[in-house]
Amino acid sequence: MRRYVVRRLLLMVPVLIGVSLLAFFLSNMLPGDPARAAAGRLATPDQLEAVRQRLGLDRPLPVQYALYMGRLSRGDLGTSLTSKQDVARELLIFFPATLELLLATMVITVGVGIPFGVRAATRRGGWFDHGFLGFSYFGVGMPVFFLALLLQLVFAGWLRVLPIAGRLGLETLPPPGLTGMYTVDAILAGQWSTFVDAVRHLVLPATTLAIAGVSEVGRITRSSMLLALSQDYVRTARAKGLPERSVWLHHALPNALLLTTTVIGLQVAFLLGGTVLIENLFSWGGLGTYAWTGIFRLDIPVIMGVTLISTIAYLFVNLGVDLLYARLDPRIEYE
Amino acid sequence: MIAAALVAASLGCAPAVDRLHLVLLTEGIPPTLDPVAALDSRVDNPIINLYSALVQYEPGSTELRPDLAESFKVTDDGRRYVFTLRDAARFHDGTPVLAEDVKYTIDRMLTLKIGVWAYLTPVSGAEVLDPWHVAVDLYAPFPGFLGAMTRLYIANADLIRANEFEGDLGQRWLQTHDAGAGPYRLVSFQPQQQFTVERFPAYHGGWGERHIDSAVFRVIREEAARRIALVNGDADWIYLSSADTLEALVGEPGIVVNRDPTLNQLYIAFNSQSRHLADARVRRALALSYDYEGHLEHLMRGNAEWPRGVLPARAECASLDSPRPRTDLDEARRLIAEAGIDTDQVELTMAFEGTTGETPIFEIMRAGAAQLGIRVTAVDIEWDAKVENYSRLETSTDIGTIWLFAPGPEAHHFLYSLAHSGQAGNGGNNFAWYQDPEMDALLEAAAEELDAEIRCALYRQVEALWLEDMPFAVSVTMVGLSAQRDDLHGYAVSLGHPLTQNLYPMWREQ
Repeated sequence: MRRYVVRRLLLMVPVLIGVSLLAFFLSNMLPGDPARAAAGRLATPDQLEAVRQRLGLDRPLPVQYALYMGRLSRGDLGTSLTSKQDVARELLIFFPATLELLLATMVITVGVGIPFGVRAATRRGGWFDHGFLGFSYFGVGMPVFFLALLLQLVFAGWLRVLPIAGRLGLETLPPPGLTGMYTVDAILAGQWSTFVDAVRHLVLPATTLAIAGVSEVGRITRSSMLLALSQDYVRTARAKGLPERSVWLHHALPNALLLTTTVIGLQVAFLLGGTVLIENLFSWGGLGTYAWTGIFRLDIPVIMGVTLISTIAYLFVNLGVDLLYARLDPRIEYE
Repeated sequence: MIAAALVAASLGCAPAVDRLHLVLLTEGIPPTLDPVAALDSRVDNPIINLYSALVQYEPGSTELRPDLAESFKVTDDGRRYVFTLRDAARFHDGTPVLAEDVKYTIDRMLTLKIGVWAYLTPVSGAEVLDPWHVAVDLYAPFPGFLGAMTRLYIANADLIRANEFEGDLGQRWLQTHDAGAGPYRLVSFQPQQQFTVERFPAYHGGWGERHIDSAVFRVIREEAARRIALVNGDADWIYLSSADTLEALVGEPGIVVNRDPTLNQLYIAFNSQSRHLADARVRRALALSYDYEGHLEHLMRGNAEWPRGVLPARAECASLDSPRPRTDLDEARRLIAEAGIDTDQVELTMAFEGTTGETPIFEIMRAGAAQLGIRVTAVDIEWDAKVENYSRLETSTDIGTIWLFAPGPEAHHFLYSLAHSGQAGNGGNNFAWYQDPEMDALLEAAAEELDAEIRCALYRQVEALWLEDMPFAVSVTMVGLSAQRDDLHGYAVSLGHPLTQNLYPMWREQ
């Protein structure tokens, strides 16, 4: 297993190089001039040239890429052309915000999706099953921006029980930043009111993102459970006189979860790329918003930084999913 | 999930309303807090609260008043302004605002040549005469100088020097810090989310009974969400970009909607160097095919102004005698026929910013041109990319939109910036690539003319030549839309600072 993990970690390097290559050349194909983005709209030709030279933008693209990779190997993601700040430092601000939203979304997705799927399968044809299937059609089919506005209207507008946007209330100062995730930092600092405020702000964006995930994960869990429940080992377990609940949870579910785990992994990947819209709608101030402004301002170091950190996160999620397979199914062994 | 929401709600409760604290919801977060970048209204918004200039407009008007400068004198040739500074003015760190700070701010702008430098290109330098007197020198007389100086916010030289990074003149530090002497000081800045300011007790303008203590500017990009927050009382003031939202808020209890005049005008550039638009008759025909009334009544629902001539109604030298832009398809067809254009062979490209709601403007232009048998295809593009495309003739489209946000009512800021040949390409506003020696001579003469009457007479000639050559069609003048709680008073849009919320005059009923 250890060798497998090391091999997978080593394999990440060529993947990252490939992604960085693609992202670098695609970023440079965007309309606009990064030198002007850095120097300002009304920069004189001399200034533009000076900026171009200082940033190495006057050199051929392959040379620029090689220089970038050289800096990257030293952990230097470069400096944002517009904010003049280290991209790595900015990522430390924005990535935890997205990670917090993503984790909250996954807690809802897994915590609701799997139990719903199990219950729908074990009550097949019943009202819960029909209700859940109806909900899942709604969850998968509903455009996420519309759902966000709807939830904002109902819970922030009509019921007024949840804040409409942001990560914290206007009066709440961010907790001391250890992880950058306000909920975690608030707990670590013992600031309970800040924790409650952060949770309240998480509910709407995380729920919006999770509804599609709950539908997907629930449906897959339901069909996998139905398949598992029709297997011989389940019949045997029942014949041994095990309680039905034990049959579901200890015999059928572990086998059914294999496919569900794959879908959860895919959900994480989807969320990593799909939070841009939700972050904008809920003024979340995370990686999605950072990427959005980077693209609009043609800030290539930012685009590259976001792409690389998203890729790394995705690769680790994939690795985690693969390792989980072995835990769920003893027949799977990694060498 | 609903249960989770309700549980979460039960755990927290809305904060009590602080009558001296304001919540303002805006659309765009400032990319920096560096005062030199205040050319961008997203930056000007925090800066007008955090910094002071030598002179400033009275809130809600275009009348200039002294700010950090107690008084000023101008030499007879109009090329040197000597400012006397107030001795009571202090930066937020408590140090006095001195002539050295003014010189540093000007030198910094001239070195960086970014942002507000675009308005102050006639400035050649500054000289410290003594700690309280500073002279600003110009290459040539410039009547728009004082108006443009309202955007030159004076920064604390020592503080910036102490925070320089690799000779960047403090650009990196100023992204998120405050070095001003304005009425409010920065409390916190959360990138992409919000910034909070609080009253600076030692502000040289003084504090009366009715002012706001502190304010938070939060970015909520979705207008529907801003509207909900205002209606629920979670916000005191919100920015609006849509006339539909404004109309929906009319009559809502406790809410007042604002329709504020602006100097912001939409121009449609016709690329005079393009093969099909080189003939001024074709450009005039296209301008005559545009449905101005439809734009105003249906797209803007009356929440815009129909300009006269080429200047906004509140600009210097604007005249009620100037003709309104009009739609006249018969005349347009006649001009096309006269120009001998085979419209079947003409396909024009038009650049516009779809993400900022400009698609209907393209549709109006396309529909108008179609009436003449001319096809117009869309180039939906972001502002930065559009500027870059217009920096080179070979990448410029045939038609393009440009909103002009001027720092003051001086005609120079509009006409020189759009129609002078020196402003074509390289990031300039002359998207029409219009190059006419007669126009250049008129604009240059007007730019240096100190006599207002003669200056306006020159601008009349500029307007006549413009309407004949039609490098740009003038579409509409923006009306600033916003909404607020009805207990908030003092909100006044300064024409020279579009899309800003100046807190100092604001107060709320106790």
